[in-house]
Amino acid sequence: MTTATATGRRPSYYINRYLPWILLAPVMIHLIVFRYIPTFSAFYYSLTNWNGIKAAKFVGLRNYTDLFTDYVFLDGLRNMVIYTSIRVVLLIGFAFLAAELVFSFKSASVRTFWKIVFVIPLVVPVSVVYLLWGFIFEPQSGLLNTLLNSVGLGAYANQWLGTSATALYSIAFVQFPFVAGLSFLVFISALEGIPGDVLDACKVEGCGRFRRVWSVDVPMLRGSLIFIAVLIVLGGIQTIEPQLILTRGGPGTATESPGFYVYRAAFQYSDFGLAAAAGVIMVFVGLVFSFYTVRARYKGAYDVDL
Amino acid sequence: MNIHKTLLLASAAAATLATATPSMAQTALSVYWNSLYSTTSEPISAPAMNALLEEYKKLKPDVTVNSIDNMSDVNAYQAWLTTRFAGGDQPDIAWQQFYQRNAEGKDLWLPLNDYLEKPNPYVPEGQPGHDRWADLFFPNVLAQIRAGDGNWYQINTDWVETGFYTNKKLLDDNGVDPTQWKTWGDMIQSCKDLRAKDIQPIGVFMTPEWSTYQWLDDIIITGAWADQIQSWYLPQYSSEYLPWRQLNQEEFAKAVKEGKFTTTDPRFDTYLQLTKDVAENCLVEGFAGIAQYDDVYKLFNDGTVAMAWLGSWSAPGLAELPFEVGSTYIPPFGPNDSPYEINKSSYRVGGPSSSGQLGLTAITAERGTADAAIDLLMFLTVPANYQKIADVVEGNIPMIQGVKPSPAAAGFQDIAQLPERGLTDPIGRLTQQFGTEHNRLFQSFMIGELSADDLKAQYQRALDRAVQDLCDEKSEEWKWCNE
Repeated sequence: MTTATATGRRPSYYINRYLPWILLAPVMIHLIVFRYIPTFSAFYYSLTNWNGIKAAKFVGLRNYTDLFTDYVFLDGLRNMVIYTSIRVVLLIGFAFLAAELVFSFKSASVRTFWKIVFVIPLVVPVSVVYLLWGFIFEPQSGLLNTLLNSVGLGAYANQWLGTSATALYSIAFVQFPFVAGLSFLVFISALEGIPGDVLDACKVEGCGRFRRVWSVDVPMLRGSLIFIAVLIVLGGIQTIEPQLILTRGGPGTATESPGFYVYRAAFQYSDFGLAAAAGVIMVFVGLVFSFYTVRARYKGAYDVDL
Repeated sequence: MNIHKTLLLASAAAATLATATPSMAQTALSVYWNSLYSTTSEPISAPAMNALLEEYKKLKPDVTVNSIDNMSDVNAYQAWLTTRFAGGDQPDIAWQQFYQRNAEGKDLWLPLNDYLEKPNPYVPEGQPGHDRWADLFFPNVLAQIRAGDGNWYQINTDWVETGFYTNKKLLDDNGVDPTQWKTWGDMIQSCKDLRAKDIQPIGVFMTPEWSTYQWLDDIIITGAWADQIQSWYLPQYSSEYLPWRQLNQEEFAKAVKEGKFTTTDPRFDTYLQLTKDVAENCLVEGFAGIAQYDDVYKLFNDGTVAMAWLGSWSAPGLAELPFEVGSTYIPPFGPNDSPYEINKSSYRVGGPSSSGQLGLTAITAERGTADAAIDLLMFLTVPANYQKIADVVEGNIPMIQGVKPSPAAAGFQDIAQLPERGLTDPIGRLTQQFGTEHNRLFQSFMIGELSADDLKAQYQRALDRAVQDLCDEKSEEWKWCNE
């Protein structure tokens, strides 16, 4: 028999009230130690000339001045915008299209089959994907040029990663046709979550497939679309795998990115202050984008009650 | 006797034994041996090193050696090492390129001068090294790896060379004979002949960071400035063993500051022309999109390129190819190629930039592990001991007196006799930032995306900025900075 405490409340009251906090405490500690403290300390180090070994010396905004007068960083920002814009359109477009096609199957088992087909490739590490695409883009014996030559389009064969004109677009096209991934799963789940009576009402009103997609599916998936867009943009801001595995930022600065700039400044130049400053700018860009995107998500939304 | 008393007596006995046994103070050493200790990337040298360390353990049971596995991507290793230094968790003994280690100096590395003068107790009496450890190493090697501050921060147990590996059948079938190359121009003509038959001549890769292109650049820049290089030597770095040697960071920086190396000099135009000639005629198409050394190896393996410029360390693996592999080298620059060439010889790119570049991190002095680390290195460098490593790491040329090279390495000994390049890789010439900028600008120039005039303007700015940064950092050591 539980007994009441001096306050008149049973111990179970306190357990129920504080247990979530207790269970979440390790997670909170982990986040504070490995996420928040490094993030805030980056702000501090961005104002110093720390090289990772000697004591940090305050240099004010010099690192930021250096960044915004360094054409490599500025080209990296430009590349980030282009790369991310392409990826948002392609990843969302193809994944949404695939989700709509799978959603159109009446049979649940057929839908499940296609979901499995698109989910299994998720287990392949990103680094392997990029290595594979390195082979695809190889000028002499790569799959892409070989395919183009075999169908009579040899004139379009190119040094995909070897010229500035094509390098950035080539890495943006890695993972084509972009259907294997989180985006597809989110979209198909959201489509399956559309209330049946909404779809029935649409049918009764005589809307065809395309009209249904435009007038029902897209508004109802607004939250999912924006969620995926935010993830893709944040990923694009931090992107470093294509540079590490395929291009090292070249040719010239054609595939430079802020993420790779941070890596190089920290681990090759041992200029942790400069790397921290670049990181702070990336955080700022990400925060601004996320804020305005999430605000736009809720403005005039059909799928949430505010 | 009841159970409690039994347990009490047993505990007392154990405690007595524990305190009575003399405790052996254990010294733990962590060592990054580079490819001298590799469990996954070829050559698999870990078994040979482990066997040697087992022998060492019998002699020094109080020393535990933790060998860190080889990281084949040198850029990944540099990132790892930088992180370790930042965290105060650096290995006791670590590999590093000699020019970078010398640039970092005492901040990160322990001077070995006093240790080199000590006897090596593991070398039998009467043999080089017994009375003085430094006698185990060749004087020209020691001269080349000595830092500008007069310190040695590493020992070099081996040496590498680079050269052209050739697909003999592919060249023979297409009428190209590298043994007939007398000058650089002959090589360029052979490249044109191969291209005319849709054959990719030479495999080289190029990125804004380190790449095999840098070896090419070292030879070209030397050929374009050969008549000037010796006039830039500073007396404090000169050695009777090296009448012609590589400029170090200070000497090159001073030459830049004094306007002796400048983009307005006609030699720079020769430099650019030679670079353009080789890029347009010889290098495999798409070289600027190849990111790794192994990709060049693959292009040679599958017959995509007729020749590949690789290191001597690749020789053992090439023996297994389905076609006969030959070797050759870049020929000298003739008067029509570079009017400034004086040596009538090509230049070797190899040297101490090898696997066996081992130094102690400065923190070993604080940790108290410096003596133990030196003792381990002395044991390793006994000729009979190092021979066991040299027999496995076949592509490296051993640089310890009395250690014989493998057949694969012996083939590079002719190349090792050539004069060395006048300047080191771009990433080692001034600052790392300058090296990256150099690679970036030259990459764009070589693929036709940057004009010579634009390159010269940007390159001069990069030179001046790098020298300014170095002078800001080293003005107390480099007195000429303030002149």
